[in-house]
Amino acid sequence: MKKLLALAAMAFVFISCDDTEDPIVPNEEELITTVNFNLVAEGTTDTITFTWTDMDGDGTGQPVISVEDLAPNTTYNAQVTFLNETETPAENITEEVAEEGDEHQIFYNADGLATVSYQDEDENGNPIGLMVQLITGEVGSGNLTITLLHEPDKTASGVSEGIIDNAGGETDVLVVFPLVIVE
Amino acid sequence: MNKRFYSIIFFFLLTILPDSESYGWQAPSDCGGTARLIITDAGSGSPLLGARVSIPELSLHIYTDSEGRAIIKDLCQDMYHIRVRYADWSDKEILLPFRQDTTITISLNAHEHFAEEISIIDSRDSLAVIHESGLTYTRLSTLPNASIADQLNQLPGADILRTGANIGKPVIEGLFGSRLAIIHAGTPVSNQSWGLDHAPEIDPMNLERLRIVTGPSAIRYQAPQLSGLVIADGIEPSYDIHLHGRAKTFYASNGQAYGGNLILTNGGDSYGFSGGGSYRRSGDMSAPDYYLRNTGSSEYSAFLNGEYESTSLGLFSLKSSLYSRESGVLRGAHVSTLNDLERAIGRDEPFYTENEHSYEINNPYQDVAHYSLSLTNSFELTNADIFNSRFTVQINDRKEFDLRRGGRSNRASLSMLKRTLYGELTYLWNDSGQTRFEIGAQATSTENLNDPETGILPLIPDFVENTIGLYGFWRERNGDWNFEAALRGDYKYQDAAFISRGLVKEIIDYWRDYTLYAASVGVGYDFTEHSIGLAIKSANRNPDISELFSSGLHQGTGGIEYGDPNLDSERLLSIKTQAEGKFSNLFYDLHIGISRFWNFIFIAPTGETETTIRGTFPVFRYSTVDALITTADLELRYELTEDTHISGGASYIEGRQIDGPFTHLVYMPQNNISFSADQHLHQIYGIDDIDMRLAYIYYFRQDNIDIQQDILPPPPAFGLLSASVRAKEYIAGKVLTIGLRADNLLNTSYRQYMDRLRYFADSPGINISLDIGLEF
Repeated sequence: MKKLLALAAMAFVFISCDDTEDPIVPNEEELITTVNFNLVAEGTTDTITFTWTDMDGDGTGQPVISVEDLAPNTTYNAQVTFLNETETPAENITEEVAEEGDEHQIFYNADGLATVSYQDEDENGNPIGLMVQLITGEVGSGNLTITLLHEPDKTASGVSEGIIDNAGGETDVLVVFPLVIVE
Repeated sequence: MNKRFYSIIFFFLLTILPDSESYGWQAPSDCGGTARLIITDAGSGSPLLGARVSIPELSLHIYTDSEGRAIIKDLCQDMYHIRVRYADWSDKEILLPFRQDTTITISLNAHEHFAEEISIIDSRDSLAVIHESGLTYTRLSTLPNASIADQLNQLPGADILRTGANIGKPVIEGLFGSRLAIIHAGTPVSNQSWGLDHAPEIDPMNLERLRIVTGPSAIRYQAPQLSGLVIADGIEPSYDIHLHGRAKTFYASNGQAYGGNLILTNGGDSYGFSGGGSYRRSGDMSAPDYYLRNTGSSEYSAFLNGEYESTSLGLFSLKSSLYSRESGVLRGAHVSTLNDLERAIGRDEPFYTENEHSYEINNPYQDVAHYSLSLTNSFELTNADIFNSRFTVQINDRKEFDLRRGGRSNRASLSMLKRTLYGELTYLWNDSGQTRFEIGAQATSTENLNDPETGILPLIPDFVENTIGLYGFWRERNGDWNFEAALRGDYKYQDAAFISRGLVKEIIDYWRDYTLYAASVGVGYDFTEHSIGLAIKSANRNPDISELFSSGLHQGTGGIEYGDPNLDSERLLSIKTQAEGKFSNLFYDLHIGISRFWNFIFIAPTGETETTIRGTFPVFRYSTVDALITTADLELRYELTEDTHISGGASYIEGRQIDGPFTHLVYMPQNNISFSADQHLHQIYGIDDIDMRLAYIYYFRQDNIDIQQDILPPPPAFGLLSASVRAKEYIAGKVLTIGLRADNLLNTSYRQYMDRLRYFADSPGINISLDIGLEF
């Protein structure tokens, strides 16, 4: 009987895990901190840059946004790049997007101030949207929204023309730039 | 075709199952014998009224009279198993080699395996002030493909919180998750219960009983005491020298699901075994109008229990179990931002819907596993008092796989390993079932670790949680009166290592401790044909780690969630009543409960938004509100004849906020009413027993919710029709059952309020299932 009680008492001497070791902070390699949108007006070589940076990902920090004015009735050849600048050197996420082009598509909405057409395609002949042509209309101001979707349904109605409504998918990036078109 | 068809199946099963040698069927050369059984209390020697005597070979169940007698007629010269069960005393089974008319006395021990808290399901015999409700294997086995939540859903007061068709979380009287404990092998199950999409890792086909305990006796478990407790009783080892068991296989049309379960028991004079397991596989389920892509699942489970009765050291038992499940999450429900959600909701057909069925499980999916090992000893000091000790180790491994970029989809987005040690030492004093007194000391130690290889900041931090506590329980039966009182106190501390958000990642160590209590008193009174019971309970619950430390984007809800590390414990005062009985042929069971919560912890939108590179998200924070939950459950059964019954039921629940930001609590089940008709047939078309059932359940729309509390208004009301036929055949002491069942018979398109995927897709349509079982 005594033996039994001793045994039971031993069961109560718990291997208490008091000294929690500090957890290893995961390396957030999928994080996108920066969106660069570079535009070059046809017939020129000057690059206009839109930048949207949020270094803490889903954290509470406010994003830093910088834009330049665009000219009316102008055709721009544009390119979007995605970076993870928490790493040094910054990791270029654009490459991942290009490699998995069939699983990604970038959508542009310029509030009717400009039209955007795709200039690239994935292995199935559907657009990716890393390279686009942007043609501005008249003078005005509004927003340019750039959305990177992961696994959209590219065959759904309107999707390959850049209409997001039927695309489904999961948003990896959604940034809104103020867009100003002036003479 | 019947007899012959059965014989073929039976012969097939005989060839694959090991047979028990001396337990062969003998020609019924001389039937018509009678055995008189007298069931007595081993302690006092007095006869027991209302003990249940079962003879599986005859499919016979009878109850003893006031002199403890049960008379069994028409016995052949054969071997019969006689099982006796009385209230929450231990079961007894003997093997009777019947030769001639005989009288046998079987005495039952009130306190033999009491560590298991064995209670009878047929609640008319229950000694508890609030009778338990539960399901035995016979009932569980009619739904061989059902999850533990679906099984519990058959009981009054139980509902389900679903994440699509294949992930279900039990809800008891409106409470779930961290508020609802499940006890398996006498130990609170330690799983990831905080998430709305986390289903318990228990296979109901490996259970003898599944029950809900609401009265004071629930306090003996070191677990949250806010709602009733779910108790899952595994299959006890058998001391029968013959090999017994049961086998079951099924097919279901919706999802083209199939699977099986096999259980074997065997033993000797002082030892016994039970073991078995299941496998289930289901492909994409289908709603009436489309396939629900990526809603398949794959599941297996196994257990092995052994018992050894030592003359000097008492009864030892070792219970082990493992469970593993992969479940896909509806592809069209995978969204990360509010914009995605807005595009995905309200569509006629979810995104990614395909025109054909598939068994493939793709991302997003969950892969969960649970292992447990429990060692117990039951040591009898004298005839009336007993020491129990138990030690349990549990491991819970949870991985969630999302759609990821750059070939990372085969790396989990969430990967946690939870290890839990549990120990208890209890003392029980039992005086012939009149007085029962129990005290115990219990301790739990839990450690939860995230795998940093996910490459994603964990939603729940690493933590350690240690609890030590004491409880006492007392029950007194005095004539028709029954009194219960229970008290427990626990000291708990949590130590969490939280990774800060923001540019620089720091590790913040949080240490919090709590004093927890639960107290309850109850009284019951038995009239001749009615019984009433009342129990009052007060308890508190510490905030869960997720409520304290959640931080970040919660995929699927499209919101950023923040815990509050300064939350206080929530407190409860509840009154539960039950009335049960019959008026002539009308049987009723009524439960009414009122629970008043202070500091009820819930998550609510704050009205703020936060802008990230993935867009703008609404912010949700955990906060507290005083709340009142009212429940009422009524079940009625009218027995037109012994074999023809009609039944009705109604279930009402309302969760109200008191001085809160909204009028009601979210995730409260829909009120519902149900009707069913049962017909039993004997000896027809050469089949021994046939049970037919037609049932209809109508769910009212959940109107007790403010429009700002949800992104879509609650779905409309709906009704579901189901039908089933079960046939039983007794062959050579073995029982063959065949069941055919149709759920959602009218293929109704509907969405359920308590389904998190209702924003995206309809619930499953018609499902026709067939199951075949053999008990031997």
